[in-house]
Amino acid sequence: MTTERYLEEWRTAGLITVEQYARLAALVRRQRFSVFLELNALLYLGVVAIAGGVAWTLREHFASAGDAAVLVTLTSVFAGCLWYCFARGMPYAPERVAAPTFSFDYVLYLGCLVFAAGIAYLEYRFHALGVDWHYYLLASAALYFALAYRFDNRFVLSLALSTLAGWFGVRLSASRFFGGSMREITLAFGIAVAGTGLLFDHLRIKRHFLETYLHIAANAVLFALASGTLDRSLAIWPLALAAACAAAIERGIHFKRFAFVVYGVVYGYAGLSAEMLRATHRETTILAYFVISGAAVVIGLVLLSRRFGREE
Amino acid sequence: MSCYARDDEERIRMQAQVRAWGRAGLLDADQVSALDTRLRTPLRRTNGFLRAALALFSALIIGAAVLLAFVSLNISGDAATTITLVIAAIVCGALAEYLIASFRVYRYGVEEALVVAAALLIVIAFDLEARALALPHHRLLTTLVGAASGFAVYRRFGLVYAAVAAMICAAFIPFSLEVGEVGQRMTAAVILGAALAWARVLLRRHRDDVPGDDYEILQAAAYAGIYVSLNLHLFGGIGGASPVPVAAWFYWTTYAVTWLLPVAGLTAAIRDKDRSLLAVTLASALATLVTNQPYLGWARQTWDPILLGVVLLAVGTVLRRWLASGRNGHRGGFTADRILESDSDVLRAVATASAAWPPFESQASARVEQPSSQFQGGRSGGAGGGAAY
Repeated sequence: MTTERYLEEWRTAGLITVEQYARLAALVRRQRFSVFLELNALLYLGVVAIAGGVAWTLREHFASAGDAAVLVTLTSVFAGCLWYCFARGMPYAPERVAAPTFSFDYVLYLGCLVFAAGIAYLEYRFHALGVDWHYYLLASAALYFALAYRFDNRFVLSLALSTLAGWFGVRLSASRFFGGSMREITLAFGIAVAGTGLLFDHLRIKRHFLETYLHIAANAVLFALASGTLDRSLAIWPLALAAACAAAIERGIHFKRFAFVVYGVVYGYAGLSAEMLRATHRETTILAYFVISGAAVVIGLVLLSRRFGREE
Repeated sequence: MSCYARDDEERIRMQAQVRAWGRAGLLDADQVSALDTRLRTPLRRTNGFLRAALALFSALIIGAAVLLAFVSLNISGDAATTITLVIAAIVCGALAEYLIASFRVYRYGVEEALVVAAALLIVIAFDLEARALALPHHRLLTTLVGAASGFAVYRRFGLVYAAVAAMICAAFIPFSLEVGEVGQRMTAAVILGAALAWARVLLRRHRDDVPGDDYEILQAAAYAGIYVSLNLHLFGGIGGASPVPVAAWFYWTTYAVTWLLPVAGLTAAIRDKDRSLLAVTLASALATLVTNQPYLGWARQTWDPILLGVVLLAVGTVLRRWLASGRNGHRGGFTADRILESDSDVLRAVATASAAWPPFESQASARVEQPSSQFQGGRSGGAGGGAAY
């Protein structure tokens, strides 16, 4: 039976109104066809291509172009983008704010990417901050965070988070406390991101951003803990991994965000397997372990799915 | 032939649509609930993330179990290996059938991993045996078996990605023959053209029906395959490698085709309002722009991506305004407004995923290792545009 037949049946049975039937039938017959996603894809690819081209051009022609020309161009583009956003943007609100124009989010994203290129060029050419150049990263991240919150832009928020990750990587690798270990740095980054996201959520500021924070934080924390478990540098790693995975699974189920359940299961399984197989070298034992443990995970996931994750 | 009843699949498709309409505010919550109940089927499904995890762990079990059989039973030798793989394939297929018949699972991950493993094991077993017997054209025969297995999986279990894999295997058949680059590419294009025609005929018959969505995807995949097989600079355009030299007539014919195909594809996609075809034709149009210079032997300029980006932004903005200025915000049925919430979900996912790009990794390492080097590579994103200065 076709979709239209279903709609007719529901209209006859009074399950949908005549107006609803007309709207839905128009969609089904493709009399109304949205190209929203395709147009967004064009704008996103356009921005990424421009930013990539700017970086490539600077790399190849920075010597011949001249510092003034490069910096004036990049600053003008950045300023133009910012001007557009402040001139057209809606007033700040802690709730979700819709973009005033279709290309608004992408103009801001382009401005931020061009700013990034300009900052990196400045530092490369003039070494103004010398060994403290990582402050450029922190300052850039702060600017992106501010713009992301001011204009409710998730692309810029992600850029801020990846820039912050860069700062953590550079700054903390020189720290004695972390001893240059990327694992601890990743863990610290993940905790900081989760903490920030939860804090803003608690303050009721752009609560719809929380999921972005948590996806990034969960992956960073679980990856670091799983890596620590595989390496077995400290006995606390497996315990911490188990606790983090349990929390990810429990929270994921509670809020019906099953991506977090999967993160918990996959990272947890990797860490647990590393522990279980550490002293084992026999092929048959290892393979039998994967069969049995894999079956246990599948059974667990099926039970979980039937209890919480059913599609119907 | 299919192990699922057509009526059940129709209901599942409708259920998904009803939920999407509910999220878009086209139906209220009570209506969604009532219709959901009416559309209920005995089939058991699961959340997409859990489905992926179940498929992953099922694949792990299957791989480990097959290896365990080889190791613990000390299986070696061509015949024994082939027989073991075939038995493993039969067991996998039978298990999938059992799970579907007994537990009524549908796109649950487990049965999908089992049937895909069965098809792969058959292909590996055939390839090993063909090599052992030194069969002439054993690669061709293996790709044929791969295509047949994928198609059989699609017909029986309705997994559209198996049909796409079958199509890819079929397209690789000519690359096992000693017919030269031109012959290989042309034959691959002809095979995919036949697949496109087949999918198109079926799509016309079932556009608003259950397999209609599958045929849309198959048509788009076949189109993409034709484009990939005929664009000589596609992979060179990305990786910088030169294509294998071919006859001038073929070279320039493919150049013309790389321009004509997106035009034809876009025309068909717009006329039929076919989303899958629209996506691949837009991607192919972009690929044509990117590979145009290598085709003409022109040097690439560093500002080419900037020009491309400006063109994309201009096209996107102009199209949006043009559509929005139409009566009631649409023209010819096309609208730039979002209708379904799933479009926003995709954008949110892309935005979140964009944080995973490490913009400073190369930059930081370049600072440490080569403090005075020139700009080291680049990509968009992050302070420094991803370039390592």
